[in-house]
Amino acid sequence: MNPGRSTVGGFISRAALVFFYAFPLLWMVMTSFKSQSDILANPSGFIFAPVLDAYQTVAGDAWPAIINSTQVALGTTTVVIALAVPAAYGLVRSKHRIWARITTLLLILIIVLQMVPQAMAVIPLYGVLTQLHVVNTISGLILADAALFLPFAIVLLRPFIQSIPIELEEASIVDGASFWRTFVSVVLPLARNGIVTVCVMVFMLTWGEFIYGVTLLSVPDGYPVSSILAQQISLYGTEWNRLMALAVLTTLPILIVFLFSQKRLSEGMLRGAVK
Amino acid sequence: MTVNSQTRETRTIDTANRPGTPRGNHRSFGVGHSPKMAWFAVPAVVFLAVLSIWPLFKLLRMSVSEVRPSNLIGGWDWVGFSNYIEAFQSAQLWKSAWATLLFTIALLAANLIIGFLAANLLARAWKSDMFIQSIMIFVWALPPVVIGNIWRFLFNENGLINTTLGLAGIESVNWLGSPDYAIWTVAFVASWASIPFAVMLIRAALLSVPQEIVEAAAIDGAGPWRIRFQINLPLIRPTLTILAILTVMYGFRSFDFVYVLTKGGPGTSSATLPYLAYREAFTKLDFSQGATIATIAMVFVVIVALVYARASRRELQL
Repeated sequence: MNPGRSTVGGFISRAALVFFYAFPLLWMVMTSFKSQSDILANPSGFIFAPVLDAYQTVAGDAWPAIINSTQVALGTTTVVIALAVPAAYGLVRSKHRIWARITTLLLILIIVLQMVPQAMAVIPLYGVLTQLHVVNTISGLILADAALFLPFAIVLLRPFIQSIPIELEEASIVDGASFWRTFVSVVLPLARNGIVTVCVMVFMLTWGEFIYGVTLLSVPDGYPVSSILAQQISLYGTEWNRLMALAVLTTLPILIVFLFSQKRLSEGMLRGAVK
Repeated sequence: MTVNSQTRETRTIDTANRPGTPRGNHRSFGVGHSPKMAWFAVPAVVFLAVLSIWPLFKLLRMSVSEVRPSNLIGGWDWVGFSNYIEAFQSAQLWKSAWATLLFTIALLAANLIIGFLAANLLARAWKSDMFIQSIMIFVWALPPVVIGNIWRFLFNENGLINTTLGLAGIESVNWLGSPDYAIWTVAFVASWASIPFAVMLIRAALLSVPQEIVEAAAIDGAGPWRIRFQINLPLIRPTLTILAILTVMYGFRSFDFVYVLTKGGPGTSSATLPYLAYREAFTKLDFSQGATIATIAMVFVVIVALVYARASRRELQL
């Protein structure tokens, strides 16, 4: 069975798929290089002299926002990894009688938590963060984002840890290492692939998250870049070239992550869903 | 969800060793058998208890109280189920439920049909196909805000899509501003963003179909389409079921594209249930009503989630 390659239909379908997915991205990049007069004269024109005007206008807003986003994304990734790796390890390795059942219950709970719509969690979370005195701060947003992605990270890490041969840990314990020592010097190095995959995924998801961003951090100079893009404040409302320039700037870190870790991304995407 | 055989096996070893085993020896017979392992999960459990589970209880409590901005933190009076009665009696909830349903059906059709066809197209390791896959994975990785804004521009009244239609002599359509089209436009964009995931998932399943079966069918004279629909399709049905369930859950959680593309408008014609809940809470500042609608939508998602947990039990290996 070898349909497709030489057939006209196969070629046309592939071309259509490429066009369908690549063109909107190209259109974003093209528009971001249009001048204000070009965009006002004809927002959909194909012929124009590329200029950096839009980027220059946007830079003032974008730069602090990108710094905020970086802080939030790195902070969230750190918190999630610090909590998720030991948790996944504990859940995988707890085979002790009572704990086995509790572990199963916890896993079910984690999976259910993963399903809770984010737009709903944000309503009570606003009150909880107010009580913790971290509403409208970057730390508050980091806590919220970490709680959002932690269940996902644990579920994603589990299979990586399950694949570590338990004999290595047992050998370490027999040699007199403590459980903690075994975790740090045996488990962590062996789970490296999984940890990197989770880092990449959590960083990416946090970078794009905006529901918590616009709701829990509503101080203008604290906005992450995705929140600015989501709110389409007047400066960008119909100034499509500026909006697209901001979109391009928001995309750049994702592009970098993508170029360095495409394999991990596609792995994380499938594992995170099914397992 | 039952404890798997590995655990049961462990338990027998456990009891077999227990009599007469001095406590101090306990650790020597295995990492997995010490209750100490569970301590590793405690920080994460505490964290989730405070920032995920506690807020969930608060959400439920809000839905049976009268919560306004003035008493957001506490001091809520119990009002019974009056919020629920109010919600179910308002036409808005049903309109939103209908919009959510339409949105979900469109998304399901796109993910399953286009996903299956495209996955078949890309189910081999050709260079050109790898390139198409790379673009699709990149799109999947893009933040929804970016995707939403690109399409908002394309679907704008004087955007590229209407301009192109104009060249073909077709009158321009108010894609995002008309109550008839808005929800479909949002569904289109959400489909565009989620098809890559569907394709990758189905493609992975197709690659795991044993080649011998396909070859045998080909020798027996089955054509490529027949193989796709009568051999591959039934064999990958578990994956399609999981994809369908994930899509339904995604549909009932849909918020980001609604927010970026239409803000639920015009009016509330494209407000899905999560968006409606959010709007009640943060625009109208009626937190109780928001929490009530959120709870109603969530009950549905959790039911689907339980179905999902059953369907993927084998993969989960609980």
